[in-house]
This record gives sequence, structure tokens and C-alpha cells, in this order.
Amino acid sequence: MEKIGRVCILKSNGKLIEFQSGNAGLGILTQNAINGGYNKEDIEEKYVNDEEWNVIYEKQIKEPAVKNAENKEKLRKQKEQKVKQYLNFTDEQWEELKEALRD
Amino acid sequence: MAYDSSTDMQTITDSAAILQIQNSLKALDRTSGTPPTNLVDYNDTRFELFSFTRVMDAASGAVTYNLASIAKTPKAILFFGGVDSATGNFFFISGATTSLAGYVSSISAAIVWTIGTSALNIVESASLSQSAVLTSFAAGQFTLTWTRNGVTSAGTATVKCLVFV
Repeated sequence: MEKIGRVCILKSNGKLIEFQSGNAGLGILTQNAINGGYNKEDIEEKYVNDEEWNVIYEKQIKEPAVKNAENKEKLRKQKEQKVKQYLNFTDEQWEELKEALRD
Repeated sequence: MAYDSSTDMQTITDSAAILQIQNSLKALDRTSGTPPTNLVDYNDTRFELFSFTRVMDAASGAVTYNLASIAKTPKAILFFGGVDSATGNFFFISGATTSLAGYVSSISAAIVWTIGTSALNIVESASLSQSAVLTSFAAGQFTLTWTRNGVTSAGTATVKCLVFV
């Protein structure tokens, strides 16, 4: 399959350090990682095709981001509930307050 | 002037009219005059779609980006991206040269728009971000110098950009 980009990963666990699109020559991502504090022996730079990049993207970028967003929303709802109880508001009063603050 | 109904076109034969059109076209061609200093020369400009990632806990420093098989020097870049749409963090950025760079960003909860001088600013929270300035253009490359502001940690940002080369 066609190469759609280059990745630099940690050899030990496959952790993504950097991705750049296109089939330019290898070497830049390795140098970027070294500049960023990684040892040359610990990293690997290689080409990826669409399918390979999608696997990395889903596992290492999208899934953690979705989990992070869910956790943030959960914490926000918990805080909201706490304030609502403290104010002793009904659901309707609480929604009115939220609407007023939004405006 | 002769009209051909089969092609719905006028054929101009009058030499004065042709000269007038030629002069009008010349006036539109910026290479015949002195362009403003902030005008990027559009002649022979190509566009390259490019993408890269930035791990949010990465250390500050310069990062070079290699365009695919293009040895020309970029002239301006328009960046778009964010950590992920699911987080609500996103940003819209344009950068031309260091002095002309600027960005607009939004923090999901606050929905506050900010205009700054960096080429990129990936916001994790009000005090945590990865920002970058466009430090150089070279043949087939551009360099961003990143600054990690605070102990950023949330995931990996994906940036899409339109590079004018």
C-alpha cells in the first residue's frame, strides 16, 4: 500500500513520538526526537500506509482523547450536582440559572 | 468584432481593442509592477496539504517538518487542528512569516477567543499549552520552535495545514 506518512515511535512500547504526512526521506523525525531528549537507540522512524496510521491514530490519539473528554464531563456533572444540592434548587430552577449564566 | 453562435464567442479583430485588452491583462499581472512588501508572490505558487502530530508532554525546542518530495521553499502556512474533536479543544491558526503570524484559539469550557502572535497554540487549559513560532522556511521544509507552557499532559494534537510553496 501507498506510504502516506512517517512515524517515529519508541521501540520499547510503540509509543508515538511524532507523525508527519508524506513520503519525504527518513531522518528528520529521528533528529527531532533526539533534539527532544530521546536516545537514538530507543527510537525507530519508518514509513506507514493508511491502514497502519489509522491503527496508531485510533489507539494512541483518538481513544485517549475520548476517555479524557468523558472523564472531564463526568467531573463537571459531579460538580454541577454538588452545587445544585447546596443551593437546594429544583431541576427547573437549576436549568433557569444555567440559562441565565449562559446569556 | 464577429459573433459565432455555435461557440457563443466573440472574435475580436480590431487591433486597438486587442491592445486595450492586452494592457488590462498586463495591469493584472503583478510581476509587471512592484508588489506590496507583504504580498506573497503568487506566480508559480503551489499548495501542499500536510499533517503532523505534537505530543502534548513533549519538551520545548525546535522541530523541523519535511514536506513530501517538494524542494521549493514554503511561502506561507495555514494551520488547523487540535487534540481531538472529542475533547472540545480546537484552534485555528495562520502563519506566514514570524512577524506576520497569528492565531485564534478556543478553550471549550470558557469559549474565549484569543488572538496572539504565535503561529500555533494548542490549549489544554488556561495555563497549560503547547505554543509554537514559525522560525524558518527552507527548501522543502519549515521549522517550528515549540514552547511547553506548564506541565501539559493531555494526549496528542493532530495538526493539518495548507502550505503555500
